[in-house]
Amino acid sequence: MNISGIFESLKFSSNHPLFYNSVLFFALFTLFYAVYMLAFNKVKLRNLLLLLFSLYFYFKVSGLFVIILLLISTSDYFIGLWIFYTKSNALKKILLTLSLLIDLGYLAYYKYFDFVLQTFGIENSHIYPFISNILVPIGISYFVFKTLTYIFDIYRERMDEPEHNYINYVLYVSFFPNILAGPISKARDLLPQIKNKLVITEEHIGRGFFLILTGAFKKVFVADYLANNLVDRVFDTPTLYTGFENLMATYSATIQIYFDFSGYTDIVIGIAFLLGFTIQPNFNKPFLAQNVTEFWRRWHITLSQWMNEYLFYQFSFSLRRFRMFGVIVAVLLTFFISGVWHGANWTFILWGCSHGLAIAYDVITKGTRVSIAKVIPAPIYRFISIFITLNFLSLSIILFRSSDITKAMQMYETIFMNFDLGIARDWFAAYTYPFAMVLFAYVLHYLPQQWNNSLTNIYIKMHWTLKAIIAFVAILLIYQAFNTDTQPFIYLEF
Amino acid sequence: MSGKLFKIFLIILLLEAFLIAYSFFSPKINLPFLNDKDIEIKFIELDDLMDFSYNKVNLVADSLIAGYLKKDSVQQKDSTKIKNILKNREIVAGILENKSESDTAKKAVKPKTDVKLPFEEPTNNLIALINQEHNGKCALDAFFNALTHHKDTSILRIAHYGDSQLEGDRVTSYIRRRFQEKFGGSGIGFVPCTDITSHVNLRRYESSNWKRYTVFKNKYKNGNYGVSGTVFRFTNNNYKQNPWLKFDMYKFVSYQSISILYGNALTECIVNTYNLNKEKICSDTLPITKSFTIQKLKVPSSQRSVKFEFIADNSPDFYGFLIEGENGVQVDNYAIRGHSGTGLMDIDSDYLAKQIKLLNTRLIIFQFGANVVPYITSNNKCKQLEEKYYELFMKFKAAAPNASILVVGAGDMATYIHGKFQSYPFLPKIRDAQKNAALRAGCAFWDLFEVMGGMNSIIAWTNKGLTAKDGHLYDKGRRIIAKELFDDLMDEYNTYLLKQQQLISDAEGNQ
Repeated sequence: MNISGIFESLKFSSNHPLFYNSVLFFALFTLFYAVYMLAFNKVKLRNLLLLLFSLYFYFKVSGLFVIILLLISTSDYFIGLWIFYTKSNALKKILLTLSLLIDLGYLAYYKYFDFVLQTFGIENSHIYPFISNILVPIGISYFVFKTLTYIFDIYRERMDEPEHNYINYVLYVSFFPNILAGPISKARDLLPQIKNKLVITEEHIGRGFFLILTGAFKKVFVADYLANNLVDRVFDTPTLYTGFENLMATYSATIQIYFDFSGYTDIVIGIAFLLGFTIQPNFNKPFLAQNVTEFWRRWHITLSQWMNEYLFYQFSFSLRRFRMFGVIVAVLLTFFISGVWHGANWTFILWGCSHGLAIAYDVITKGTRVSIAKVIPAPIYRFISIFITLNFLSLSIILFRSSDITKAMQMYETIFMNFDLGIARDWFAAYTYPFAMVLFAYVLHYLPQQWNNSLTNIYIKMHWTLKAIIAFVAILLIYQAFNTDTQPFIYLEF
Repeated sequence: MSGKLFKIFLIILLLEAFLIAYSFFSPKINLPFLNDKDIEIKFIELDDLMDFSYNKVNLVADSLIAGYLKKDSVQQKDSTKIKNILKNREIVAGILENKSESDTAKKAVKPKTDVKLPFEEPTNNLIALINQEHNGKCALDAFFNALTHHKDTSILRIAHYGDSQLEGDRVTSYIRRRFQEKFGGSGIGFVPCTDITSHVNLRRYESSNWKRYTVFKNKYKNGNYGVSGTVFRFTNNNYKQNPWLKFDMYKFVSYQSISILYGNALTECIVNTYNLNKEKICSDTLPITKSFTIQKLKVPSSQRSVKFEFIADNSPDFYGFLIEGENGVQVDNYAIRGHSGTGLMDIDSDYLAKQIKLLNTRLIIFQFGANVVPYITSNNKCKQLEEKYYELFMKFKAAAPNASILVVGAGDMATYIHGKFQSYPFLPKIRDAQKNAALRAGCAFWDLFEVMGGMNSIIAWTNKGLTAKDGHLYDKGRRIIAKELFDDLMDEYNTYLLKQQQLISDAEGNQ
């Protein structure tokens, strides 16, 4: 064993951030858990331990940006208290604005400053040498939204009282299972759990491990395999592939992104279960949605709830006198912001706008669609709706997944201008395994939820040694996909 | 302490114990249900499991990229200034140390010299270009000689062969731009009739009755391929419309003439040319011929959009178009997707020689390798590869006795090994095989693998957005590679010029 390597690995390295599926995380979590279980019933000690581990986890991921995390948490901790105890509405508003300025200021600076300068053709290294090469603190969009949720809820008196304990509040913001990519827990959901004694049941244990294993399976076995063997290469250089290959990559990317994100979320929720916490799920079979509005009730649920509660309702309330037009503008504004939130890139902005337009279409055509639904048999109508929605989502995923607008446009152009079904046979022959994986993933997604629940319940009821054995077999299986050789880069129609 | 938490802890410990045990025993376990030898349940080896140290990052690649990017931005901003400075520079006498094969085969530091050089000064310390010397002549001397004496009176051609890395004139267009800035010339050189990829200099449209044959796939009935390794023919029996091709050239393309390359014309073929407004602007007749012919069309140079309509009972064998000026340097892009290069052996040797002579090709660049890398997994295969490339280079040497040949080795490419993207393990050996073949055949060799930074440099290139993980260059990466190749050629050209000047001085001294 390389002892110096152990110490080296405990330091931050930008090239080697800590991942949930790494051996190092597994080892660190075991050590942490050994202490955590001893402190579990002493709330203050438990929270202190959790906070220290969370901060260290974030340090391992993002280095000294942990200071930004602490600064944002600290400022909102005090602003939250101040908002709650001040009687003056004007001062409440000023404090809310101050909090927004601080939080969104950090977000804007770290995530969007470079993008804005580039958009206007300004080279920051020449004009502002001291701010060139800005790195983005990982997860800043998530923890800023978490802390904003708290401030909004205090301001709108949706919480009975603010959090008085500084450690508890910083733990809420930095809670390691969901700091990197959500789910975005609301303060009114997570803070009560932090403040109180937790109870762990057999269901927590079974569900926790089961979610971690299924999450790893989704993320590593399916999503990473598809990314490495099919999706990434086409999205990297779309012009090297034909329209048919681009289209196949698009459908694959749709399911790959879902398995990647929902797999990650399952792992996170599973880890939280093992710690005694319950985090809201983020996905509910999104490709069963019959329209884009429904899709957003099934996809990244915590984000869409956040957008709904804190943006859409505010916009639509302000624009209520414009009736339908006001609603549409509110939708478009909300999804424009959603696009911007997803990333500092025109691709995300266009992606957000495309979804905004699709929802506006849903709003406008609702009556017509209801009329059509009455004359078409329900299963057929449902199938057609799901099919159309899935295709819209797949085509819009090109914007989401492409690294820049040029590549996205190249993909669209290739799909719509260079589509040749003649190569389909060769493609299926060359990409048999990745294609089988795509099919498998879609089938898995469309399986009834009840099947998953039944499996979970069986696992919950198993003896703990059997749970460990099944986890062992599952990890071995997942590792096979992790370790497999990459599909050679084959370009059809040579 | 909660009993449930202890149970969780026990599950974790038991799971870890299983995994460590499997990691320790797995190479020795022979499970009865795994009779098929292809099935192997792998897991992280114990040493790797216990090794928490970070993988070594390729810092050489990082620093090289930083240097390239800096040069790239300087070059972009100050190209006019640099051009003017270079114009005014005089060729001065001086002697650069001759490089022997051994000291250039690996990374080495160029000897510092105070002499002013005729073109750009050496820009980094990496010597990637091996221009070996045989009997007092270097591999690139034939090209440099032509570059010095013939570029003003005729078009001097460079043939750039490659695979998807170059297709659609990618990489080549940057090399061409550099050459034409320094030595004159205009146009975009060879343009195939049809292609499966878009072209960086023009938008191409075609009627649906064109067939493309290549030395790689969909092979032609005989070896009379064009020099590019392709043949294009139309079939007009079942179509109401005459076959046509249309090129909409981008604004930055300037040219004086368009020529068509063809052969095997059993009947005359009329080529009507139309402009953007669908007005006929000229008509040419391609004479009957069996052999390779370059027919200059009467297309005025101002036309951005040209549509060619072909009228003939039988399609001649078309090889492509030449869109270019009257003199200077032209770099022709001969790229075939998925190709390893060895298919070029199928071109009839005499036919190839005739084309190279007529086209006045004085430098042949082979840039292959990416399509063989995933399949070369043993020393034996490396040896076979070396022999195949040696045969190819010798064939072209025989076909083009007045041209130099430069072989560009395979660049770094990544594959997924043990859950991480890493270089293909055999890449250095593949590069060595290409290098050995090139040097044995008396060709020059440019080591793209070392230019990128060696093993695992692809990760750094990918992280900087310069390449895809499979080694395909993005636009910025292409520009860097083209510039490095051109700069290295110019370094060698400087050396050549200085050596020539020294020879003249010596001769004058002797008199």
